[in-house]
Amino acid sequence: MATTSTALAGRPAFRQRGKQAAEALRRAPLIPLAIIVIVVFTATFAPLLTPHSTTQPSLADRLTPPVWQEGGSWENPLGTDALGRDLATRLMYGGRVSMLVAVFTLAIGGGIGTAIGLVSGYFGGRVDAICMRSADSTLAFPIILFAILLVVAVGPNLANVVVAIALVLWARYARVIRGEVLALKERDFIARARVAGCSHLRILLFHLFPNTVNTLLVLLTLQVGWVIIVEASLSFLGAGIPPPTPAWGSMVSDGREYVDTAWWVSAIPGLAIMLTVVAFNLFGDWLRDTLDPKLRQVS
Amino acid sequence: MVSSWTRLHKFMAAFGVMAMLFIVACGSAAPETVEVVREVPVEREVIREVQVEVPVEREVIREVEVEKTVVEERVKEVQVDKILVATPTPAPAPEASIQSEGHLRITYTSMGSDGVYPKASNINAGGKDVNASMYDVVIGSDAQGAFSKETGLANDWSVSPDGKVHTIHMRQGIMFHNNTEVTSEDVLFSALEVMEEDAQNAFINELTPLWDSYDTPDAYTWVINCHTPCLYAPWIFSGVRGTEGMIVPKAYYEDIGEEEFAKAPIGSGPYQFVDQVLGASVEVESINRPHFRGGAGGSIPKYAQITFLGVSEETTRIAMLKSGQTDVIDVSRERIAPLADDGFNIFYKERALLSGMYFFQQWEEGNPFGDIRVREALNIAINRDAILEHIFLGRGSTTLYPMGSYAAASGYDPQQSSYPYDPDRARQLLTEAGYTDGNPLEIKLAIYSFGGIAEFPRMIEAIGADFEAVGVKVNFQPTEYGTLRSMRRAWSLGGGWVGPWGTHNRAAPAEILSIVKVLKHSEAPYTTYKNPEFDAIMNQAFASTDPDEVKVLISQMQQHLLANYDGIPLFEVDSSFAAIPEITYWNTGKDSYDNNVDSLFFPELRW
Repeated sequence: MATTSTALAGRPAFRQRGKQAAEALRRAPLIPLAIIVIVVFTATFAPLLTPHSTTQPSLADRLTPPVWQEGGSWENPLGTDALGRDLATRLMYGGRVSMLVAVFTLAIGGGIGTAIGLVSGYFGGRVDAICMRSADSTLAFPIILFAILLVVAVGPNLANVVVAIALVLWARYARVIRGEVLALKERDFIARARVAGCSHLRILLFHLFPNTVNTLLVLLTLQVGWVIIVEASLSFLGAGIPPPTPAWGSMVSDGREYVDTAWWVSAIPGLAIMLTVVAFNLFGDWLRDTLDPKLRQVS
Repeated sequence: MVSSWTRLHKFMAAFGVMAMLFIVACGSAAPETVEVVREVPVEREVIREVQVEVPVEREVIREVEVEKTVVEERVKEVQVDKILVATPTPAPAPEASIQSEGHLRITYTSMGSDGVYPKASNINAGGKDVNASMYDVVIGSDAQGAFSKETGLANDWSVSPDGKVHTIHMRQGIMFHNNTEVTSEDVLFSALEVMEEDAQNAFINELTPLWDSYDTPDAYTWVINCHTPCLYAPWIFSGVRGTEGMIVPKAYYEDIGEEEFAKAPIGSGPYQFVDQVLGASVEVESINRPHFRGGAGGSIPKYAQITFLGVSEETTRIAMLKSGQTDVIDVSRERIAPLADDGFNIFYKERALLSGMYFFQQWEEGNPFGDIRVREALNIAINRDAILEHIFLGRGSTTLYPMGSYAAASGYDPQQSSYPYDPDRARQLLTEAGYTDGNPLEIKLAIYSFGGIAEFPRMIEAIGADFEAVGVKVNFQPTEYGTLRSMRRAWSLGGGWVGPWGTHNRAAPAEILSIVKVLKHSEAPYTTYKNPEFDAIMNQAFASTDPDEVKVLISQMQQHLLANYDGIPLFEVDSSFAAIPEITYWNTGKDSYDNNVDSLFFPELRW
C-alpha cells in the first residue's frame, strides 16, 4: 500500500518533470542548434562530403567566385581561394580544426580549472588565496599575447595552440566553480558527509562536483565560442595552425588582400566563425536558462 | 543665492571667453605654421637665384649674410598679398614658374629600417628611396644600372692596373643642406662610419677584408687602397647598391652626435629632412635650388614636398590611392590590371626581383640535402610555369638564384637558367635516394611574407603542394624574415630546412660576384653552399683584373650551380607601382637596389 501511495505521489512529479522538459525543448534555439549540428556533422564527415583536396592547389581555378555570382559553378559552390582550393572543402576541414581545438581546450582547461576551483573553494585559506591569485594573474594577462608568445616559443601546431589556450582558460573555470563550492560547502549535506566520515576527496568528487555539473555545462558551452574566436585570432595572426591545414582564422587572413576583388575568400570563413560562435552562445544561454531552477521558475 | 548665481554666471562667462580665446588661439596656430612654411621656399628661391646669376658658386657662400637680409625683405612682400615690388635682387618672372611645387606621397609596403641615415642601411622597400632623396652617393648610376658621372658626387674615377687603388675625383661646390660644402673629408668620414661595428650596412662587409686604407690627398679627391685587387669597390659606394656610398657632413655629424643626427639628418640630396614618424612616414622638402642630379647645370626638384609612407596591407594602400590619400603605391602584379582599368598609371621595374630557395646547411652529415638526387628531385618537382602564370600573372620568368637576366652582359646565360617540371622523375630520384611512401623525405619549409613580393606566401604554399605531390612530407614553418635570417646566421637550420629568399636582379660583374660570394662561398659567414670547386672559380674571378675573364668565370659559376642543384632557383618578376593619372613618367630603372627616384624628382630629364 505504501508502495502504491509512493508511486501515486511520484507520478505528478514525473509528469511535472516531463512537462518541464517538453517546455524546455519547445523553447530550444532551433536555428543555433541546426548550425551547430551542421558544423559538427560537416567537420566529422568532411572526407565523405567533398571530392576536393584541402591542400592541393588548382592554380587555374584560383579566385573562382561562389556559385551565385557570375563565373561561379557548382564545382566550387562557395568559390575558391588564391591557390584555387575549394572554399567549401576548406571550410569543412577548418570546422574540424575549430571543433578539435574547442574540445581539447575545454577538456584540458575546463578539467584543470574545475579541479582547482573545487580545491580552492573547499579548503579555503592559503590554498584558496594561492589558487585565486594565480587565476587573477592569468586572467589579467592578454590571452592573445600569451598564446602568441607560447606558440612562437615552441612552434605553431594544433597541440601547442590547445595548450596555449588551455593555460589561460582554466582560470575562468576555477573562479566560477570556486564560487559554487563556497556556497555548497556550507550546505547540510556536506556537513553530514563530514560527520559520516567521508574523506575530503570523496566529498569533493561525489558530493561537491556533481552539484557543479550544471554550471560547468553552461560554462563549457559558452566558452566554445570564445575558444573558436581565440583560435581563429591566433591563426589569423599566423601563430595558430600552420598552412596548408585549413583553419578559419588563417582562411580569413589569406583573403585580406582580396577583400575588394574576391570578397568571398575572407567573408565566407568569417561568416562561418560568426555563425558558429553566435550559435554556441545562444545554445549556452538556453542551457543556462534550462538548468538554472531560479531562471526556470521566472520563465 | 542670487549672488551665487551671479558668480556662477560670471564664472561661466569668463570660462566661455577663455574657451573662445583658446579655440581662436588654437585655430590661429595653423595659419602661422603655413606662413613659416611659405617663408622657406622664398628664402630658397633667392639662394637659387643668386647661384644662377653668379657663375662662381663659392662666392655665393661668402655672401650668405647678405642673402639672409634679402630673404627677410622678400618674406614681407609675400605677406602683403604677393605684390611684386622692387627688391635688391628682383626675381625674373620665368624663374618663379620652375620652383618646386606640389606634394608627392609615395606609399610602400614597408619603410625598411627606421633610420634615415646611411649607417642605418635602409635598403629595403621604400627606405632606399627615402635615403636617395636626401643624400648623394659617391658614384652615381643611370637608369640602366651602370655608373654615371652625372648623378653622383664623383665626376671621374680610375683604378690602378693591379686593381688595388681606386682614385675618385669629386665635383666641387656641392652643398649640404646646412650650406657647408661636400669634401673628401666628408666622404672619408661617411665611409668609416658605415664600416663601424654597429653599422647595419651589409655590402661594405665585402670590402672590409680587402680594404687597407683611405686617403684624401686634397679636398676633392678620395683614394681607396686595397691590399688585394678590389675591382668592385666603387660599386659598394654607388647608387646601385645600399646606402654605403651616401655622404653625411662630418662636422655637423660630429658636432651633434649620431643620436641627434638620426633625428635631424642632413645630406646634400635634392630633398632635405623635415619630419619622421618612426615606422610610418618620412617627410622631406625640396631644397628649392638647382641640384646637379637634375641634369647639366642642375635643375630644381619637381615637388616641393614628398611624404614617404609605409603601409603593409596592400588593400589599404590601394584604398589610399583610390581615395586620394596617396599618389604612388607599390602593388603586387595581380592587382595591376584592375588599377589600370580604373585609370591609374602603372610603372614597372621589369624583372627586378629574384626569388629562390636555399637548402640550408646541406653539407652537414645526415642532412638529406647532401644527396644531389634529393636536390634535383625537389627542383624538378616544382611546376614553375604554372606558378609564374597564375600567381605572378606571367609577369616574369624563371631564373637562377641569385643570378638573373640583368647579368646577361656579364657572362650569365638567361637561356640556361632553370630546370624542367618532371614529377615522375622526381619520385624516381627520391626512391633511389631511399625515400618511399613508408619513409618519406621530411622537410621544413619556411613560409613568410617578403617585402616587394606580396605573392611570396602563396608561391611557397604552391611549391609545398608540388613537393607533397611527389611524396615529400612538408612541414610548413611560419616565421618572419628577420627570424629566419637570424637562425640562418646562427647555423640553426640543419636537418632538412628549406627557405625561400628574395633579392634584386643585378647587372654588373662586380655585383654578381659579390652577391654570389656572400651566399655561396664556403667561407662566407652565412653561406648556403660549400664546394671547393666552386670556391676556386670564385676566387679566380675575384683575383682577376680582366673583365672578359671575369665574364667567362661567371658563366662557369652559373653552369656549376645549375649542375649541382645548389638551391632551388625560381623566378624573376617585375616590381610594379601604381600612380595617380597626373604622374605620367617614372623610369624605375634597372639598378638593383634603386628605383631611380631621380626620374620622379626631375621628370623633365626623361631618363
